[in-house]
Amino acid sequence: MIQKKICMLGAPMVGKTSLVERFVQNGFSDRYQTTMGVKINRKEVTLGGEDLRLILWDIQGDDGSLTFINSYLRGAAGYLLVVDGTRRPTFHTAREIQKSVERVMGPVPFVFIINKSDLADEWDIDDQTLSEISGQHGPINQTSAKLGQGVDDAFLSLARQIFAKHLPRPDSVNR
Amino acid sequence: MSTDASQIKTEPPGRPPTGPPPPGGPDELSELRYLLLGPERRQLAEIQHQIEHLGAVSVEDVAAVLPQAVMTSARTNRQLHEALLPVIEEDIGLSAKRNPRTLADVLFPVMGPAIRKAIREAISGMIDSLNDTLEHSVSPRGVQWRLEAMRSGKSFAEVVFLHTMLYRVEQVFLIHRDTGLLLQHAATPMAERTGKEPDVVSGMLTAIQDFVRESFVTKDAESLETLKMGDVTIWIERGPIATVAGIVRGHAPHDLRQIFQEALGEIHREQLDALRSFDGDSSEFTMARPHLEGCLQFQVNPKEQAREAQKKVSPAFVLGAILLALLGVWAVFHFRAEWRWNGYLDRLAREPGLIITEARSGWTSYQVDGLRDPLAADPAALIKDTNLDPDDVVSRWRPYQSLDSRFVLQRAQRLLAPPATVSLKMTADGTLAASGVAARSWIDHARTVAPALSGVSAYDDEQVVDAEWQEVIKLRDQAQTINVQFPEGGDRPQAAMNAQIDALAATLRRLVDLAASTRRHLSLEIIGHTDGSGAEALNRQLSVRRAERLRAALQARLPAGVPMTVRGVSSAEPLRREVSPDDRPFNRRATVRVTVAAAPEIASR
Repeated sequence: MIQKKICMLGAPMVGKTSLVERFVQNGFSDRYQTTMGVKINRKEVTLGGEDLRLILWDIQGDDGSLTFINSYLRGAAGYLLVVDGTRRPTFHTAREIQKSVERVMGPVPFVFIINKSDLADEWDIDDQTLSEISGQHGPINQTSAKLGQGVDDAFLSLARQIFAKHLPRPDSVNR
Repeated sequence: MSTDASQIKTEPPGRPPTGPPPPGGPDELSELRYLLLGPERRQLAEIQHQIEHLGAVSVEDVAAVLPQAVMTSARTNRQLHEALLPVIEEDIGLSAKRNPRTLADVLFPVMGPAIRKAIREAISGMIDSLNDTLEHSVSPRGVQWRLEAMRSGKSFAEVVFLHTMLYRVEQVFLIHRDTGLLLQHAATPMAERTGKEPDVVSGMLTAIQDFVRESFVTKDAESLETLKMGDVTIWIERGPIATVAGIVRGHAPHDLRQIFQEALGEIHREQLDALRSFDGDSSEFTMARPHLEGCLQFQVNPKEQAREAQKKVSPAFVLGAILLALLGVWAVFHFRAEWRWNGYLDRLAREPGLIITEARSGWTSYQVDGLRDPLAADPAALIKDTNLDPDDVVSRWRPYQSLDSRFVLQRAQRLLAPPATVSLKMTADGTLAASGVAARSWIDHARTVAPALSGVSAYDDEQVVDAEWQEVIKLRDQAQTINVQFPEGGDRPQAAMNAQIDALAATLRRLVDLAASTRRHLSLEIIGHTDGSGAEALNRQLSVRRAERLRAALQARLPAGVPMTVRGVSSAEPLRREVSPDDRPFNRRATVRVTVAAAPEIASR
């Protein structure tokens, strides 16, 4: 079975761990727990008829120091860049992270996620910014880890980029 | 060369001018040049062709002959080595500078074993020095291990290691260094059941190494080698592309690291290309699994093994063992009790005067019914000798009279109450025999009672002497030895003889009394004697007179009614043979002969 390392990146409290929990266990907890260092999970998906294993490195939220991120990123096949839709500064942090990763690893597949779509009323990112991001990085994935909306799509979207060479057949998430 | 060729391109190469120029050429000068320089130009064209041809062939030819040329050169002289040496040295240096990893990857399979060998030798030296140290240790444990070493033929250090290094490698991970992805995994069956997902663990181990390296270590070559928590140790061996991590429970010997290193080295050697091109497909690394399984080493103390074995015993087995043990204990107690009970019954059966009619043993108690002679031993007292609890034994004894000779004798003793001078015994045919001295009255009593005793078939008192009769015999003999002396030719006792006559009379009086009390008949014969001198007829008369004289003296002294006869024997029964005249006075005498007869005998007459 083909396996790939995938990293979750983003500012603290944007919902990286919740997204992983929703994707891997289809669960969610309102209680916030800071991730210290790295938490690793695995998830098997079927993509293009091929069974694939994603090893998810849920890396501690970083607000700019990026000390450990480079080290943890080594060997990653792709990453999810997560932004909290209700906090604009997390968007800037994400861009910093993305630039840093690009510097170290060169162009690596990634997916831009704006999480907490269930709190759309409180969103702090305007449409202009969204279209700006979309212009730079392609389609934006809006997700709600709490409601489970768009989560699988976001992960599968990244997986599809990584496994682009595999046969184009219907995708599914193995529950 | 090509430049030269391009300058002389009037004729195409490969087509040397062999004939005259085409007729009608406009340039006469050319014709003239042809005529004058024709042969030279042809030669020049040939040379040009050869040179061009030579240039085209030389690369292939050189390639074909170069290896041979190098080998020949290497064999014949060292010029080629010397020529190439600086170039190769420079190239290696350049390669190391540009990408050290390439060189490291190439050298790892070669250098790894050599380095490990050196380390192994260093450890071996360390063990030897440890051995020396332990040689001098005198602790009881040390002595015990030393004895074991002597017994088993192992070195002392080995024995110490065997006792101290007890461990188990539970899981081994082959991890891709860059990605932290799991390439292959081997585990003991138990670890496989209880362990976490190995690919997650693989990632975490990589993350931890990254974290430590990023946080504390500065040199590239340094890395996290050991993680320890409680009795679990994680050993990490880093190779150029992959890492081997082992989860070890207990205290693993250092040799184990070498096994890890060798496995890692082998995997790199065998699958270097696959490792380099790894892109997420770990299926290629199934052939690394035997190497990892080879790392699943363990070593346990025999005591631990025994404990393990004990743990593995099934509850049913334990229950069965307990039941068996209980049964065994019960059997021991039961058979001991039975043995004691049978011993008691045997003892009772042997005891005279006891007859068992019925005996039963139950779970907790015993019962015995039977007959008991009152003179027999007490059965309750016999229990004490057998260690049975008297409370457990219920006895019902009915009285009876045993005909055992011992009891018959006891009963005879009690009923006959013989005097101390009489002893009784039973003979085999049931005869009660008495012997000794007894009063007439007892003898008569015994004769009446003894034959009536149960168990006595006959009574024999032949050996019992009548006490009064004995006295009679004594007095009779005493009386018969008294001589009443007479003077020569006279029939009156000498005066001095009165005392003799009184003594004789006293003895006879006692005899008379005794005979009366025992109903015996007493009679006296008085006999007169003379010496041998003188005429026989006179002597006979004299002897009769002497007897009559003594009878008269006795009649005067004894109660009336004692029959007395007289007889004169002259000198026919002398007391002393008359050798000289001095012997005669002894024979001038009178004596008494006493006859005592039993009254019934008299009656029968």
